[in-house]
Amino acid sequence: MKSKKMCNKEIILEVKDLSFGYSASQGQVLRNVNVSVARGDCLSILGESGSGKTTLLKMMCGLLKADSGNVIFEGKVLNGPDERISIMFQNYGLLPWKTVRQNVLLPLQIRGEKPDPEKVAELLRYLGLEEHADKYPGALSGGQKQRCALGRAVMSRSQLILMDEPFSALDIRNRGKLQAFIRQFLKDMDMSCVMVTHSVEEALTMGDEVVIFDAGEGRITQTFEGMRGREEEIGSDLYYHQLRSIQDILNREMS
Amino acid sequence: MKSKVSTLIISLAMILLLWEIGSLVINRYFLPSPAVSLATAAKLLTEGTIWPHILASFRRITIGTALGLLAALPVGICMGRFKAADELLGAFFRFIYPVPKVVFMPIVVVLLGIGDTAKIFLIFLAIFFQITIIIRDSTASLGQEENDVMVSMKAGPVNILRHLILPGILPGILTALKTSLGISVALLMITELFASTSGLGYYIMNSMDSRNYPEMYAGIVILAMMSAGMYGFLELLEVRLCRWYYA
Repeated sequence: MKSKKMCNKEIILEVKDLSFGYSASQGQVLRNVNVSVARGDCLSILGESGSGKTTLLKMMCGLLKADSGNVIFEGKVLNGPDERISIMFQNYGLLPWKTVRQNVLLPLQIRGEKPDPEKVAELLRYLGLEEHADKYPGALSGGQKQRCALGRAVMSRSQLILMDEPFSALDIRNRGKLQAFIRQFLKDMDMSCVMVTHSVEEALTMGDEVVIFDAGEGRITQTFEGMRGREEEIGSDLYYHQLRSIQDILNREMS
Repeated sequence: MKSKVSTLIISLAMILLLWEIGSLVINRYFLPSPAVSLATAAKLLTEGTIWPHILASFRRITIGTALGLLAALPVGICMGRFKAADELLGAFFRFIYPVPKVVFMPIVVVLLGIGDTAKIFLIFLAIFFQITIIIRDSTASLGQEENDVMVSMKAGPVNILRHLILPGILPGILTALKTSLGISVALLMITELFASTSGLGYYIMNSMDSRNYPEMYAGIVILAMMSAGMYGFLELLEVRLCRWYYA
């Protein structure tokens, strides 16, 4: 299937022949991974839990260094963390001793910049966290924590956000709402996104492009077009056909 | 809060009641009634004769604790954060940690004499070993995700220390200070028994030697009040600084 990326979209992040292993005895987790994200797009990386997807995300934001190969961000080789790339972990990584407001403002504090109170208030309102601004993360719901982490990424002035299983820690009833929120958020904030998930449905509905990461081979094996921007087609025959064919591939890989 | 105050009053009343019964049963000369002892304590406090002793003890315990904490912070954080530091110092700590620091008193006295320095140093020693272990464990148990997020925001060591490590280990430090208060007071008491002319420990033992039992009990009451006051201060700090922890 032809992907949108081939229509000459500018690439924001490219992973080239990336290989990595935590130790010699455990062998390589990633073997010659190649993948790229177009500006403004959301890339879903689909694979089983514990397959090395989080490792790949950590390399995409410079937290881990590759054994060989490169991560190229905005045309330059990434040599370490970059504030334009944010990572949102499964449990969001909020600092429990800082209030929602303080967590959102953390990137500014680190850079030694003064916040613009109006902008902060506007952002908190947008995230629906206005009333919770002075609460600690321990008193928030999963969805609120997630929105707080998104706010922090905005304050970081990130252009690319990497999400590790963003919906797995959330109540199943709220997932749909939060997925819609993130779709809108990425559009409003003009952010590109890489999302790692083990749910075919999530990968398909959130992504412009869906790639399958095969744990056994340690690389990306297949690419599909996602449904992002065509949400009205979700539930159609085409959607279910796509869902089933991806599921079949996953099942074959796992057996 | 209200129930806390009422339980405090009830437990104080129980202590006084047991004390009163004790003094009725036992010879009053060796165990004066709480009324007599408290009246003596009030008199000592208002007349001011005991204040130099209180201040001497307070000074030794606060300086010893503060220095112990200051020394424990860098060592504990390094051990908690860097495996190499933990491997280097871990064996040493495992060896020294369980030894009651009071056994070092003869060495300390030989090296530092019998003045304030030796007394403060002994309290410092006890606090340092106690708190370093707690700081090491609290630092090591800080979340990897939180740390990775900080690093991905390009936070340097100063920012990581300020925003992640110090606030993260604060509850552990305050709890450790509270639990080691008893050890510090015990050490204080022991050090003040030897060749001292000041401090509550000295005052209590001196009153005992001169058979002035009301003053001996008054001294014990005042020492207990000082310890309880310091404990209360640490609890107050906990409530003020670690609201997130108890929220």
